[in-house]
Amino acid sequence: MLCFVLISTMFFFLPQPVSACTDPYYPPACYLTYRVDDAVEDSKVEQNCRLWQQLTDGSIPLEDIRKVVYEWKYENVEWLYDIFGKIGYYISDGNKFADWIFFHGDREVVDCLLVAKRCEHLRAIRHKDPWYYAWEEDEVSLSLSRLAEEALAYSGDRLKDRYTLQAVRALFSLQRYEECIRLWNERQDALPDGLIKDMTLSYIAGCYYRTGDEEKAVSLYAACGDVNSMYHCLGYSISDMDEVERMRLVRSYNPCYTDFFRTVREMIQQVEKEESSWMSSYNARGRAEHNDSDIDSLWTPLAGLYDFSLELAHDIQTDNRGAWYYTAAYLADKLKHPAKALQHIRQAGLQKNSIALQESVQILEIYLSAKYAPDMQSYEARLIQDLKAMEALVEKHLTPDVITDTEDFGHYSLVAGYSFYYWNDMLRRLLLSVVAPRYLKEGDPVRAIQMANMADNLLYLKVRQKKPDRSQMDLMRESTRLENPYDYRNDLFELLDTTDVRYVAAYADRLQHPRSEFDRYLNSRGYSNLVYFHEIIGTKYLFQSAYDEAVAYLEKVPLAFQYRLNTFKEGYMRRDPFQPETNLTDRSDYKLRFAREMVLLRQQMNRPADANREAQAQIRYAIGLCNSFESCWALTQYSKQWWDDERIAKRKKAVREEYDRLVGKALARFTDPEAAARAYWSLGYYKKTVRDYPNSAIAEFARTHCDNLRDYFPAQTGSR
Amino acid sequence: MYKTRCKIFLPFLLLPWLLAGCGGRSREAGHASEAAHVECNAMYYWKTTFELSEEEKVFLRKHRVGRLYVRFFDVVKDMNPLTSEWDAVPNATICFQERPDSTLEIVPTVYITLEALKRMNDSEDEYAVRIVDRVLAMVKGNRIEKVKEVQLDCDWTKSTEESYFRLCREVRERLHHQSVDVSATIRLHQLRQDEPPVDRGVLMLYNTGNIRSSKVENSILSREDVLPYLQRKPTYELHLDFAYPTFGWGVWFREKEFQAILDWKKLSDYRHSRFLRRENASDCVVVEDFHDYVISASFQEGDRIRVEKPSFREIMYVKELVERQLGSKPHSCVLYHLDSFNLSDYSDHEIDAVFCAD
Repeated sequence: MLCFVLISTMFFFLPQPVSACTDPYYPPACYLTYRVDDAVEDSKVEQNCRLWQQLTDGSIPLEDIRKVVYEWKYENVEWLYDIFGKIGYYISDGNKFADWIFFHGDREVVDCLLVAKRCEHLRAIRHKDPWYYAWEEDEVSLSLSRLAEEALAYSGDRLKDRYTLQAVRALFSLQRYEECIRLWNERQDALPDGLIKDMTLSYIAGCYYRTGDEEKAVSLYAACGDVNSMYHCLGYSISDMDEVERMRLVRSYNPCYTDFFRTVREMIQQVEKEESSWMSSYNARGRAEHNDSDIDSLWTPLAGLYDFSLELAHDIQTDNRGAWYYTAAYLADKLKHPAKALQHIRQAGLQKNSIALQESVQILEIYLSAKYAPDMQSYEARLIQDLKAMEALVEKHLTPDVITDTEDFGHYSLVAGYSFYYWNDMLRRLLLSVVAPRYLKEGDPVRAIQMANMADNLLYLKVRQKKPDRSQMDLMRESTRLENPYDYRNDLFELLDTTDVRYVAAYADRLQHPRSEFDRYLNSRGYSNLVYFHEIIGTKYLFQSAYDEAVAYLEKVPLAFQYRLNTFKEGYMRRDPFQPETNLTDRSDYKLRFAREMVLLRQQMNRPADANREAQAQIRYAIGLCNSFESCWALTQYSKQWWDDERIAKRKKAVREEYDRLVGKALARFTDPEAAARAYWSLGYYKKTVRDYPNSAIAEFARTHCDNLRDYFPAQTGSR
Repeated sequence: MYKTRCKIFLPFLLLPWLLAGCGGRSREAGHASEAAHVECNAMYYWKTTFELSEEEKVFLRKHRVGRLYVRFFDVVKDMNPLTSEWDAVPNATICFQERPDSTLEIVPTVYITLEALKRMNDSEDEYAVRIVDRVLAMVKGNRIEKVKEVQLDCDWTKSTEESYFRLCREVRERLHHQSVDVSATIRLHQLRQDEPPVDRGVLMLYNTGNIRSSKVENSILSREDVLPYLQRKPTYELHLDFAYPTFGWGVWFREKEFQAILDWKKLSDYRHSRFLRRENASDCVVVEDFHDYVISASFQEGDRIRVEKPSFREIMYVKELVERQLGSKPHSCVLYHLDSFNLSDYSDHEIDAVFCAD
């Protein structure tokens, strides 16, 4: 038992061997986890939406503002503009921001939004439409010019920064850089500091660059945080610097600037991807090509980034200190400083973070807590809460697009271990790379199976709740023709396949009889089709040659389910295990009938009444046993690979030894030459049968049916 | 050998200037105007930057070139950044570094690849609007004064004829509203097909052979390639001008497999290097491996380069044949293309002879 637990644990800790259509390709430990720039980027969007909220009504949901500002097309805003004041014409789609603008008659806001959308539309044509040809009097240029005038004509204070931004955008597009600079110099003191002013300043820096004042451009790009444009201006002078040195250079221009998260993400993801590739690379014998210390060494070059992150996190002047603590925590974990990782992530959680960043912090905190918990038993109370929190995040971000993707490609992505849907990826990473292996290590394989089941199936259950129709997944599960690409390749299956059958049986029992609230919670978040588990348990007992137990489980598997097995659909449950050259006409209960016959043969073997019958039963049993791992491998396994992994190779070796022992013993016991001849014949010793038992019926059969064997009996056949 | 048969062009050359000076013409859509088209010496300008060298300006004056067919842009199948979809989009748009001489009639020419044409299928009207609007924007933006005609250049075949003709019809309808005519290039094989719905055509008497075949001696112009198309007098109602090649190139082969085209200047450089040995007038062989970093090409010993440049004799042979069979009406002669390096291999006398229209 211990042996199997260890093998299972090893399987789980190590990436799964790559083989055709069976195992996951990438270990969940390698899902791309670091997530800050999206959160910060989101925070800019969020910041802009908050500014609109301040300009309108604090009770309007930010999401509604985001939809109008970032997703509505020009035509949508134009429609709102056109029907302004015409109450009967307005049809609300439930967007509170649009409702507010219309019903409060805030013409100024709708005017401003229209100018912004028009500017965006014209700039898209000017910069992206390949058919557009710019010249000073073309319609797009004239429209942009008029738009700039219109924006400049705004005389109020409320939206002055936004109108200035649109005017600068339009003039910049028209390459009227001097005018932009003049306008900036006139207005910069009157504009409120913040996001909109920074956005405007980035264009002004561009104007300086295009008019030849590169030094000014660099300092302005640094001031507004447009780091990539700044690097572009600096060109070759920074080509020898590493990324951390460049970030320090930016701060030498603008000590307040800290928004390097895109670069940091790229640096981290580069190593994450390399780590993933190293963890999933195997030599021809299926052995990992890199050991743990090799993989850990990949992170060493990022020690400088860790120090830089920590410096910024500790600096009370820094914006986004939470994001820098998060970065430091992430890197501390990778650099093998668990205590620091836990400390930093807790500090990250204490900062004033955006919602998006707070979610990233929460995910990493859960992961690190599970990874570094002293033992699973004491951690379990917290784990329940953490799993519920992660489940809530999976559910919260489940957009219609994710639902469609889950139905269309989810099974492929999840089986292959591709990053697919961040929140579910993180749940899988936690459960499959930390929690389940720890339960295995600490001797609770049933919990490990529960975790793997939740990791593999929660997303489908959530999708099903949102969209109750039968999905592609259901169709494939129920099909007797299409391959089921998921249930026999996923991580749950991998674990079931490699864990001692008694634990799998105990898990099936726990599915029916949960012992705790946590069991009930986990059972309801996984695949709960008992027949699936009974079939696997029965097969695992066949693998162990525990035929009585196999019968007990296989009897619970209805025919309809048997026909859905991939091994059945692909034609591997066809051959007669006792005569593998023959195909069975009736393929129903393939495994069960085999198990029953093996039970019967074992009974006959142990009945001492007739030595010949006993020996015959022993030989038939040995043949069935051997074939159940060779030509009829689908009786004991779900896939056949071009090499046998250690577990299967070991079992097959034992089976071969048992076969030799049984056959040797049986052949020595025959007293009846006729029965002995039949036994040799059934074992494939054709020559021996005809040579040593020439007078047997089977020898006669051979001589009359087989040209080659006729040669052994010249006297009777007269051929020599 | 060949007598020059130039006539005095001056009165004809002045006529289009006078006509153009008369301002916009009012014309109904679909009505071509022969009056707008004046026979004169013409040339193609097929580069991505419009900037004439002093020699080229002198050439235009010396040979009294009155019309310049300028490639404005190609239309190719590519990703449209606005829609992020595969689309027919302009490519390699010419950049005007100088304004064309106001005495020259400029014919904006748009080359359309077959892939782009296929992409336009069933939306030819939309693409016609785009092509016309873009050409007119380029004309206005670059203050090009004398534009009376726009030319479409496409190697259409029977299978793409319907789509191409729809495009021509749409372009013509729109341009006629602007008092601008439409012409099309006509390949020799297209003489056997229906005439495109345009106001006139330019018969391309070059690129007559299969450039990819190592057996072909000269893919630019060969009487053997032209003869089958002109042995019987083609019946073609469309007004045709004739375009003759005055350019050369090298065609690079490795083990009889086509590799690339080498421009005439590049070829001349190679021919004067130690890497190439001249086998005969039209064939060179690479004698030592070398790499050209400018064009990122690696040549290997044994590679062959076919040198192609039509001789004056060959051009005149074809010219006489064409004019005998198709040149009964007044027509113009067009040279492909204005490039002083290529043209320097022909004498003034030879150029005049090619221009001369019977």
